[in-house]
Amino acid sequence: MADDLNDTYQYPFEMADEADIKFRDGAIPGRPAGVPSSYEEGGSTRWTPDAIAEVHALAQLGRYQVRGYNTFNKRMPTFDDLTFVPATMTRLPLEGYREGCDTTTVLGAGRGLVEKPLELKIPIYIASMSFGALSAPAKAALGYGASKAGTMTCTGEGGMLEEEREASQTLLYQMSPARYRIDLDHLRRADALELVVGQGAKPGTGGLLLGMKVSERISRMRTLPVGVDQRSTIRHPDFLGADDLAVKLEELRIATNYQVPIFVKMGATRPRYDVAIAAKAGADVVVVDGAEGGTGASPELLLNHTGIPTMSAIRAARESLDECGMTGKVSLVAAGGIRSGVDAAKCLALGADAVMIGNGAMIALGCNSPRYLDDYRKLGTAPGACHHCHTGLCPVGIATQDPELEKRMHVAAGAERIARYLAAMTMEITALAKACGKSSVHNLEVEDLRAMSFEASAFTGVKMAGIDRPFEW
Amino acid sequence: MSEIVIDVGKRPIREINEEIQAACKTGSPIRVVNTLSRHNLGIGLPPGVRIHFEGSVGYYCGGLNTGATVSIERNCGWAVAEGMSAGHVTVGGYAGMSCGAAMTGGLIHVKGDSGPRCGVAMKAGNIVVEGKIGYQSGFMAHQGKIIALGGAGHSCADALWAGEVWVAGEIDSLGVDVNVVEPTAEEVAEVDAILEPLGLVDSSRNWRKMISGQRLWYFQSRDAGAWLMI
Amino acid sequence: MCGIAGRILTAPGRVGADLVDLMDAQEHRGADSTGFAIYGIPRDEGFVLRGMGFDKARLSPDMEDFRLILREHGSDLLEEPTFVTSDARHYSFRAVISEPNDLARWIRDADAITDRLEVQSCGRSLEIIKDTGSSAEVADKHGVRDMIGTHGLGHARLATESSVLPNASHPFWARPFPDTAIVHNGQITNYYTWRDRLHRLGYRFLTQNDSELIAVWVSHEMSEGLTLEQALKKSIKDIDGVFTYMIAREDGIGFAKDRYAMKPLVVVWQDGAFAAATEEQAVRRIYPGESEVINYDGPSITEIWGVGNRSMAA
Repeated sequence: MADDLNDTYQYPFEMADEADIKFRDGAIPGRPAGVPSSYEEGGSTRWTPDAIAEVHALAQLGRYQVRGYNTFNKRMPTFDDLTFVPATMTRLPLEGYREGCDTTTVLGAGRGLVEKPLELKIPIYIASMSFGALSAPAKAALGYGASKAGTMTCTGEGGMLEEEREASQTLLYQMSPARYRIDLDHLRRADALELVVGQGAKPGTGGLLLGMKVSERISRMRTLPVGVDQRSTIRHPDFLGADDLAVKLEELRIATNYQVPIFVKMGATRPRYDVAIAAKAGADVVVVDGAEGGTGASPELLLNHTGIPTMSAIRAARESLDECGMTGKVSLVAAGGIRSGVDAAKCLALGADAVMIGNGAMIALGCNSPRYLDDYRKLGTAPGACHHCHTGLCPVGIATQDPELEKRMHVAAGAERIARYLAAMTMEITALAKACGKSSVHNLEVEDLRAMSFEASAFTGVKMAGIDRPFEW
Repeated sequence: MSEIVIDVGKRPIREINEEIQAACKTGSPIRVVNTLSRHNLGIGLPPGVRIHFEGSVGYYCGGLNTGATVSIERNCGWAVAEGMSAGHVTVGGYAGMSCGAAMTGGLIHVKGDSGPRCGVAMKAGNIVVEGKIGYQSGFMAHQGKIIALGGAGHSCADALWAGEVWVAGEIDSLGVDVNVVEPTAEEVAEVDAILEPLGLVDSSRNWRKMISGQRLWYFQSRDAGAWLMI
Repeated sequence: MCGIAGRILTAPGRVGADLVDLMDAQEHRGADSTGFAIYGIPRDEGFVLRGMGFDKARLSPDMEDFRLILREHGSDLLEEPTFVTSDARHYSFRAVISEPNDLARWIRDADAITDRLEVQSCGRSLEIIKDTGSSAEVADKHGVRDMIGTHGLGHARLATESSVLPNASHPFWARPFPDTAIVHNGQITNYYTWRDRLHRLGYRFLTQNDSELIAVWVSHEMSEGLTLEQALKKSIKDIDGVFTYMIAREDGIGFAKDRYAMKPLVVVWQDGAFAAATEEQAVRRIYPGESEVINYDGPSITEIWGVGNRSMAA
């Protein structure tokens, strides 16, 4: 019998000692050495070390935790689950090293309503990150870098920073619900306006800037007492819904004399409906910020457990615009977790007209770079793992308002790194577009992609690799 | 200087605003008639202009005003003079919701009642309401004063920052994180100085001044050590 | 996300034309679809029906089936139905029927063919006309301006979480309660909970539109013994989200507003007549001169406006 080993076989030698069998390693009595789920590691799938640490934190602090950076939710799909299928026999590729590929990106021209639609040289711009979340030198570096690359930056919440206006040839001026430092002069000095109704890192919740970053200058710009935690409203004070938004947009158009496009930025939650509503209310550009979007500070639960992934949001948003007849009239910008030109190209193929990068730009500036190691250590973190933007103690001077720390942000060097990063990303996009036989990056389409996981296919409707049809239920 | 009269009726709002802006350049006083409660009249007015709206207006009238003197004969809709940085706006009747939303300066004088969220997110300036201010007035007001000579609706002075809400009449209920304080004589004098040019000073008023309870100002300890735990 | 309007006249008159004007002024609040609920002069017997079929190619068989169901319930058409068709696939109809033995049972059976045809209003006087397009478009197509009545509701819709379909437009009839219609501005955040509960109680929902829920919810509460006023007040606690809604019945219009006071309602009473709208500029279409305007701006408020001279006029 198979379960009665002793009876069936005799070794042709003497049976080994129990001690030899147990490795002779001096293991704790009653606990065989090297057996998985040893006591230190535990085996619970529910109560992982992370889960236990979270309960300990909640129990000790009596509140949820706040941090910066972006989602730590491990179940988010990644753009790596999608692959391009370049031209081969059915299609003819363009010469990747030689032939041209247009990257010009026009935003806000579709309705024919505004005098000065945005014309960017590349389909990438720098995301709305506020002066407050970022230091003034960091904002200036982003502005100069973007200008060199022929694209724009966005003020983010908290008003127009003079350094950024000077640096950015094209500047998107954000009107957040809290309306910090909004005035007509700034409105008219902007190249485009953006009304925010939510963001990917924390949809349904207003901005957050903890007291350590509410410096004297920030306090003046945002009319806040120095050092208080600024928790912004999520609802705008003067419109409560898309029906009123239509009236509000008319006001802003009059205020800017129908010169510049108006963006509406939202976190990706129900883009299939939300995007259509924003388009019908009159926006020129809709920005959909996926759950992977970054932030300077957010309740961690919102970072990790709200919103839908960027890749699925883009598909839903594009279909939404198609269905309500707004494709061509309203531009679609995607954001959230875009790291490289490859990710950006995938976003364009999924249906975005342009992409916006936040964390990527910060990292290009030097976020998480291996310098000032002691300061990382003081924060209890290390280069490559730092997510402490909320503390204002950024070791590299980017996400801080500390006058000493912000000196570490070298504007000229940072600007050049941004310009090179944007140029490199654009090269990546054109390389892929040309491989797919496109003379313009905007001609990338869903058909150019295949999914390498059921999940990615189910989330996006992109055809599964090999079987060439989307995953269906 | 002769008055310029602009007739609203059913004409496009953009066209009317262009006429208003052109009239502003002449320096003449402007009278806008037949307003029919239309929205977005007189947006982004320049300093020094005097403009009168006959009848009632809709949403955002006088929005983003930078120093004009605006008078509205009767009622206005939502967010009159929203984002105003300077100027003097008078509403003869009832001011709709979010009167003076996010304003950064200037004075709004409402002769009737005001709707909910009067002075929401205001950054500076003053709002004087002769009647009652509506629900959740003063919500997240950063600075400036909201002065109600009548009463106040529910959730008064909800989650104030450094703004102040002054109420002489009945208050239906207070919002979250509000302290009601007894104003000092100097503080009352400051308010009277705002009321004085409007001819509204009355020493018999029993003021209640609402300021932030400051409980919601700090999410957590400001002690740097505590940050490292996060 | 919408614009709404209400109108009460002192005597039967051109209530349709007034509601078209009220909604025309609010077109920017939602041009996906427009609808009207008009209370004409009440019939002494029988019901007037308004409805929609989804495929005009099937009009004849639809009507045959519809009539068959009617007859099974002891009712029949009193007049030849009239139809409105256009380039669109759907068609609209108006019919007058004699009393079914049991109205609720009849409509339940009639709803069995809702994949082809929907009864969208039923009452002694209520007629709901709705379609995709702007106020003027819907009015022209369905002759709304010529409709005579005592009171009514209007609605311009900006679709939120349900589709832009002619039948997902407002107003909604509170099936199976005759002469009850609602219009709603806002959105309900516990819609699925209530819909499910009411569905279990046997109510039928024809759309995914949260506003349809309010119609049925209020009528259900009233069938359980609440007065309209009590039901309106209870809705503020029980229904979550953003709403200003008006519910019309034969004898008046009721209104309720959510606890956070998000959506406005402007009302003018003049010479015994009443006009209400989301925006004051709409009311100015009826009363261009200055009149006393009541802003229902506060949180958690309800009101009922009676149709005073109705029985006399009728």
